[in-house]
Amino acid sequence: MTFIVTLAHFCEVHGPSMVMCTQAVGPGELLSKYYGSGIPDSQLCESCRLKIPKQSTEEMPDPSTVETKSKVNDSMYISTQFPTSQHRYSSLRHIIMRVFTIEISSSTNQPLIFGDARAGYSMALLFKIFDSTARGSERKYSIIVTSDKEDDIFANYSLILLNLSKTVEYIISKSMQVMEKAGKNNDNNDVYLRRSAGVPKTKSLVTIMDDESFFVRLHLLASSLLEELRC
Amino acid sequence: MYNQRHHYRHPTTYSSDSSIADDSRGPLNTSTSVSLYGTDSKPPSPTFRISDKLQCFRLVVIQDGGLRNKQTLYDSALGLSGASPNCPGSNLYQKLNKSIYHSMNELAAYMFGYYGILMSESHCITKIHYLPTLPWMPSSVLITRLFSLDPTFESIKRSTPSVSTSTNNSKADDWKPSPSVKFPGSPAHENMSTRFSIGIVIPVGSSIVSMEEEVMDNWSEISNQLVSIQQIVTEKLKKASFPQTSRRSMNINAHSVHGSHSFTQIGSITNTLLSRKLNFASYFLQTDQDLSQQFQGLVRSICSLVETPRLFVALKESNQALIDWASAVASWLELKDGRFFTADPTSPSSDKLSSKPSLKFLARLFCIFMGVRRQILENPLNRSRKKAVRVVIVTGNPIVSQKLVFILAGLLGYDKYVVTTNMEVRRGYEDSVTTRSSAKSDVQSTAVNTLNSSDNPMSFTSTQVIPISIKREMSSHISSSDSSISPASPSSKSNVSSTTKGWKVPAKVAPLTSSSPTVQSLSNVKAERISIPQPRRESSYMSLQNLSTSYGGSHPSTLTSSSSWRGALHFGSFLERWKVGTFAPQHSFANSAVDLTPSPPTEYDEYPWNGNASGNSAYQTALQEASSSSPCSGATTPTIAEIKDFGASAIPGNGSTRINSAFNKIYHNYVAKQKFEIERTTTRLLPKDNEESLAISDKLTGIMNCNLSFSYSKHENISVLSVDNVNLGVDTTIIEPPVTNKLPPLVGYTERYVPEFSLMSCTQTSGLETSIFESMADDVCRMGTTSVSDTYVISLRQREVRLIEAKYPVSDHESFSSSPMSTSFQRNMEKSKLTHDLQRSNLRPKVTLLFSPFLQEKFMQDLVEDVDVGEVSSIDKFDATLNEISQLINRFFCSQSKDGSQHDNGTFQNRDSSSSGTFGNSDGARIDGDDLDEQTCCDKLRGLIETLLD
Repeated sequence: MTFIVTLAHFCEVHGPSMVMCTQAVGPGELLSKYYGSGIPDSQLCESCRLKIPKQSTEEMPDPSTVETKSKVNDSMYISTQFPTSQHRYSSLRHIIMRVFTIEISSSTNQPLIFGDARAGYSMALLFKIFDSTARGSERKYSIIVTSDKEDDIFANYSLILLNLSKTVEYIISKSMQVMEKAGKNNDNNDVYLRRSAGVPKTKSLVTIMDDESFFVRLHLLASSLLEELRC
Repeated sequence: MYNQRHHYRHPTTYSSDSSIADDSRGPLNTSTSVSLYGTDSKPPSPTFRISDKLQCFRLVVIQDGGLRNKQTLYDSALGLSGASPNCPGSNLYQKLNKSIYHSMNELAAYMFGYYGILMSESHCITKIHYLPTLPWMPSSVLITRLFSLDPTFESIKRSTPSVSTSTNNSKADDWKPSPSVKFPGSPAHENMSTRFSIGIVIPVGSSIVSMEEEVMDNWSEISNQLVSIQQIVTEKLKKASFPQTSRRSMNINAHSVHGSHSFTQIGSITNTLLSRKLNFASYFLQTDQDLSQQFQGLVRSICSLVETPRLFVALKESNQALIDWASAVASWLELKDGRFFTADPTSPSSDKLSSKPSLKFLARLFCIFMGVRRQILENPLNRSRKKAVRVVIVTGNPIVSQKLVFILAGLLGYDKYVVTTNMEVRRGYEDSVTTRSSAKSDVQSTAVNTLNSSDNPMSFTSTQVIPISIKREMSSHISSSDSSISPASPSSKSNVSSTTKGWKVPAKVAPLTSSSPTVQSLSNVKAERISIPQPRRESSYMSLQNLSTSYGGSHPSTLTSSSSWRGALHFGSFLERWKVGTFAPQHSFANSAVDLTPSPPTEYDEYPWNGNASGNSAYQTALQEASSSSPCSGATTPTIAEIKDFGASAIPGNGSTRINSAFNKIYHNYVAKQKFEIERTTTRLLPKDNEESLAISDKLTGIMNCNLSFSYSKHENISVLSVDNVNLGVDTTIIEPPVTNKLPPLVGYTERYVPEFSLMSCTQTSGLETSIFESMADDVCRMGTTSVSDTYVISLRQREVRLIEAKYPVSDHESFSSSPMSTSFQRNMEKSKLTHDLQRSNLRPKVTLLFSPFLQEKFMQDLVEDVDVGEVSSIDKFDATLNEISQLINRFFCSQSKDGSQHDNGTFQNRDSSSSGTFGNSDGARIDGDDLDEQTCCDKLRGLIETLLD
């Protein structure tokens, strides 16, 4: 049973992009094979980047991987921006493309389930975060759970769906709180005249959520879901 | 539009009928409901009653002719009638009920994607979308299967990207997507391919549970059906695409399907074909019978999967279920296998129990099924297995078969039917005896209402439902002057002729009992013979046994006499009869008790043993008749004087066995002190309210708000952040995967054979064997090479157990393995008829008789050894354990009756104080203080069951 949890984003600059993917590494596998190498800043914008808290004291390259040991078995859960396996990468790219540009959903709080024998089988929950600085005042994200077995996705439907919807619910409500708080402190009237004046077009979820460790927390959530799925 | 609507409803209607029957019994069915389904008072119902929304099901087939150009080839919402493919633009196709059906454009947008962006789609894609709400269909899902065909209809198996772009990394990659149903290849000429999509709209409830019940749990069946529909569509399009004149090219193509070698040789033909894309006229498949048949099959299948309540025989959890189960085993052994037990360990009869010649039907069944227990509990449609096992109990009498289903399911699922901590269970314990007694009398007093239609209402008044009823009835028969009984009792006043009339059935059965092999060999003959013909009319279990003709000794005359009796009554549809029986006025029941099959509500739970005046007086008559009609057995028939003695509780010695038997009868409606009830739907056990959701919320809040402690490490040039999730300070206990809540596919009575279930009972119909064979052929097709499909058919009428085996054909036809299509479709394909016949002959199932009462024991042993279903010694072992179970439960009822009689003495005093006193004394003398309370008895029973399972 293999599951991958992915956070995807429809970037204003780059289109559908992968922000973070969490995989389970079995006890017999080489851990370093899954470690993602650092990607130069020039290649990714603020919105697409996986931002992991840096170590302040020592001189080390920016961390590009988050890992957690499972409590119930010997697995490790590893989150990187992209999976190191070429096959998984192309599958996830394909799935993200489909989620943002092809499939439609009657309402955003309903999951989308799709799959084929090439890319695997996925359940995706789309969500939009209100942001006045974004194009159309909203930023589109999706959390996707992908399995290589069609039956596994269906067998764990309610577990995956509940986890996804709770996470999405939290992210939306927290972002609203942050937005309201920022709005109160903001007395820059320029925004009424020129929306783009002085505000960045790309914005990381870390900023939106006002939490430096947001991606680490998301990694922990994804890890616990993988743990519950017995990965 | 939906001519078949009533047809769809059929299975469902039946199940609701049966629930009506259950409901009509009110609390009387409590124990049955608890025992079979784990719920109180009424059978479980699905989260969303799908049968109310049958017209909302829809199948559409759409062809992608490019951007904004989608042609509908088939739409079940328009029906077959009047659809004319020649005039696709006619108004008929525009008339769509918008309050039930979504517009075709909308569906096409979901199926093919909104923006019309073409991706490389060579594989079959499966999707599920939630559809917008419609006035008459609040919630529904669209299941899509998208596939491509090129004009040559060739398909090739493409290599996966991991192989083509293999690096060191991906070589060891375990990412190998696999669909539920393997379907070979994708179109050979991708650039010339046309996309087609099959869409199924299924109405669902708004909750997640409903979605799980209908779609997720039945995904294997749904995807099987989708593949079948895809194959039908492909074949039809292929047929239409190649006109009759170019049959030659079709044959060539048929050969080139699985290899591209011949492709170059027929390049010119292919080039001609590839000159233009496939394009079919709108509503091209609208009149297709196969497609609509397949669709109906899908709807029927989902309906029965969702709405047939699955069994939950929680022997481990519920004392009530366990006691009912043990009591059912005891009565089966006594009534069906011809055994007799005594609760009294000191009785001389107990020593002879083992040496008694009798059928070991139940023991042998257990022995056969123990080895395949695991397979039976699994879904027979699961493709990942190599063996499918089903058990079909065939009978004309649902009640008897339901009992056997109960016994089998309880044992087979003993380890499976357990509750976990996340399930909603109500437990309780009633300590006071008075509560139990009142509960008991409640049950019995409802019996009055239910049984009023029978001819003897008075015997069911609450004060008289007690262990002493037999004695009381006996005495009432003797002294009809007893004012409290005689005025209300027709039978106590009845003359010989009226009783004789009512006794026609048992009279015919009399030779049966006298020819029973168990009779001559034992000293306590009288007791045995009494126990058999006793039931009658309102306790018509007995008569039903005769109907099923499975009851009685192994002598062939039993079957003959019963069958002729059955024939003489024109015993037709069981359903019709019991419906009549339920609503028949009282007098009609009294007058024509022989002609009518009493309704199950009055007898389902009731073994013959709610002892009552009419039953006993009638049984005396029967004995008279029996003794007069078969004088040779007169010596072993109890005389009227003896019966009178028994009635006065004055029979010494073997009298105890009779009383014990009566205990079983009376306490069959025993209400356990320990209460157990589980929240469930027809197919799942429900988790505790919102527990899972709350746990996830807690986890989320914990993770989002806690202080994280990081540690960094460096691997070559990569910096890794490690975060520990143990010290989060929140309860992140692992939630049980919800899949455990799904019940195994074991069901009770179904009207027809449903291949989706692995244990069921159904009526004997002419097409039954064919359906079984067809489903087995489908099984092996589905599971692929080296797969086996076994079906155990238990025929209660012949008391036979047959094993039907189908193996995947050794001489592997390539076409066969690649097209596991539905048999109905295969039948309709002209050109594949020969292939089809060949396949069938290869698939000819092997039928083995595993058990039959008419076969010599020696021969049976050989048979049993041949098919390796267990040795004879293990059958004996099973038998011995079953005997122990029966004795234990009889002893328990016995000790309960002692308690009961002591506590209820006050109740009896008004009526017949002397008799209750005598009863208590005689009873107390024999039970020798070996009292069993409920918990001890249940613990012992569980111990015995565990030895059975070992």
